[in-house]
Amino acid sequence: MEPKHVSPKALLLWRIRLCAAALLLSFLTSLTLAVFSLPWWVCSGALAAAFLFFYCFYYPIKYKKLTYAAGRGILVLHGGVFYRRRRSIALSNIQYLSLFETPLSRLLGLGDLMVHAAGGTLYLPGLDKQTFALLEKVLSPGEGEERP
Amino acid sequence: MKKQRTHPIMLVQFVWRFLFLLILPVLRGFWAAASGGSLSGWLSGAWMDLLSVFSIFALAFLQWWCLTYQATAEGLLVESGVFFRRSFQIPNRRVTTLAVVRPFYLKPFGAVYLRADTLAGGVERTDLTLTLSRKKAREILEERQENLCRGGWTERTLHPGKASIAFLSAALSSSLAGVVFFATFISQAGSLLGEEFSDRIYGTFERFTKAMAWGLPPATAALAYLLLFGWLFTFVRNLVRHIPFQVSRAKDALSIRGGCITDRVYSVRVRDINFVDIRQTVLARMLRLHSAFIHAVGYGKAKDDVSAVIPACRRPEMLRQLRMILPEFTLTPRQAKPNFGAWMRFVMDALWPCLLLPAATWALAAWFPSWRDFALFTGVMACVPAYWFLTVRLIDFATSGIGRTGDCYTLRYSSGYSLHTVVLPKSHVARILLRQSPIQMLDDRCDIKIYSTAENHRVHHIRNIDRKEAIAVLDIDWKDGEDKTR
Repeated sequence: MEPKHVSPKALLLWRIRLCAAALLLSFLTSLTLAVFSLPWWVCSGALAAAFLFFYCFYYPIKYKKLTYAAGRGILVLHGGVFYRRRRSIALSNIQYLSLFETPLSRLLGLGDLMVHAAGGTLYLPGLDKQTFALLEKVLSPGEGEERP
Repeated sequence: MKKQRTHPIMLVQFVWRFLFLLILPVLRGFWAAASGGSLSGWLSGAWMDLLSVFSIFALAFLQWWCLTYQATAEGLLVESGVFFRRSFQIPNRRVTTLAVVRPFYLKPFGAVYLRADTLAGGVERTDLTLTLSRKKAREILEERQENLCRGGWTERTLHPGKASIAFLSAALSSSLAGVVFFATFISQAGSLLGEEFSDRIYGTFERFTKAMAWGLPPATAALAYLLLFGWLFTFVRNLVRHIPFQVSRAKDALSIRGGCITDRVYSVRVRDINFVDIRQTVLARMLRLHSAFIHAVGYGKAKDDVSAVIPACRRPEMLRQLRMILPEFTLTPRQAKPNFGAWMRFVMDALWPCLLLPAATWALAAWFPSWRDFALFTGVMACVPAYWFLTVRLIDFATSGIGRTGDCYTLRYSSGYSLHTVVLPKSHVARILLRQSPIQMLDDRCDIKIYSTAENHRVHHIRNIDRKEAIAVLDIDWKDGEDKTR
């Protein structure tokens, strides 16, 4: 199986979450600090810079780098923005899968997959329902397949 | 089976989860009192308090309503969460242990806890715990047993005698655990029922120890009775946890039942048993009794779980019972053992306390003559575990070693105050480490550490075995161009 990207909607979901967090933080800044005072400008500036950094660089790079592949008895997850990470789990070690959905992700038809394996877990965010169903088939062990 | 909801008693658990919302009425009450508000003013805002209470029940109900399970041929499908939804399916073939626990407080409601555990997840937490009606839990358990027993197999059942269960309970009892429980109970009861209650208990205990001191100093008698009562408490707790005890084996299923106040039924898949551990304490060795435990994910995990399979019996009987219920785990005699010159390696750790504690006791008794009796008593009491440990190490030196029959290792070693004989299939070995210290290099001896697989790695440490013998017995010789010993 070739490495695949997660759903493009995942990027949209992360950005919407970022906007919500930024709005909340700017509201709190305006609530606690005098508007147009120096501390307010400093906080708002830092907030705007962080927002732009995450919106324009971090999340697009995260999306671009986040790929997964399952096959040859192994599930591999590539990712990482600053550090490159490659996580892999033997399919025979996988015990069960779970799907997480928030109201917003449900609206976009997305879910986060958690792979529970012997000795650890692997988290794959931003999967659409079809991909989850496909992965569920690939990652769930066959009847005769046993743990190593 | 269709999607079903859990037992309504689970609502109480959810209510408990949202009780923190009561902080709102409490804070409002404090605010009203601090700001000098009138009673009528406080009453006019009572709707907020009612709303908080209503929210607690409404949220609990919604949580319960949204928690569904479905037992299918593939496994248990669970969906939960009101806003943040979580769904997962635990495949039947991944469930190592399925347990049905019926605590006394759930008995009037006909509810039980169903616990399913796989190799995934944490050491402390079960992968899935649901509160179900007894009937539904039994259906799920019976279906699993049927699946595991498919293909025909004569069921073999063990009913250990009450005396052997009593011995196992005694062996598992610890004074310290009982003392900690008592101390916590009295302090918590004191904080709930008032200091007078805890003072009364302490007073009664003081009068009792004075009356029953039999010539001992009161402090010494108090300490001795505290340890005795602590031990007795854990003994009774272990006894009610195990009696009546029953183990059945049918094809790939090992079923264990135990407990008279809280009923417990465990269904363990035999091929998922990591190892069988035959344990002996020094006292058990003197009485020639053996207890066998199994190590499987989910079995013996909770605080009050049962973990034994053969409570206590003589060696021939134990071997017969083990062959009957777990014939896959073959016990092998020692094929490699420590040499005679290695005795220091075994007794060194234990020897220091045996020398230093009597010296410290003597010094304390000499420096503080008024405390002589107490110092002597506590010194002697402290020496008992030290000499006990030395005895364990000496027995370990005489009995430790390794053996192998086919793909099954037999490891004999001591850990703490217990002597272990572990039967471990090769397939459940995570890694093997042969470690040589500079001294061991001189005569080519090594310590063996075998890590068995589970949610966390469990280590079996065998001391001072000849390296070449260890490699041969463990069958880890240089193969495929890779030295598996290093």
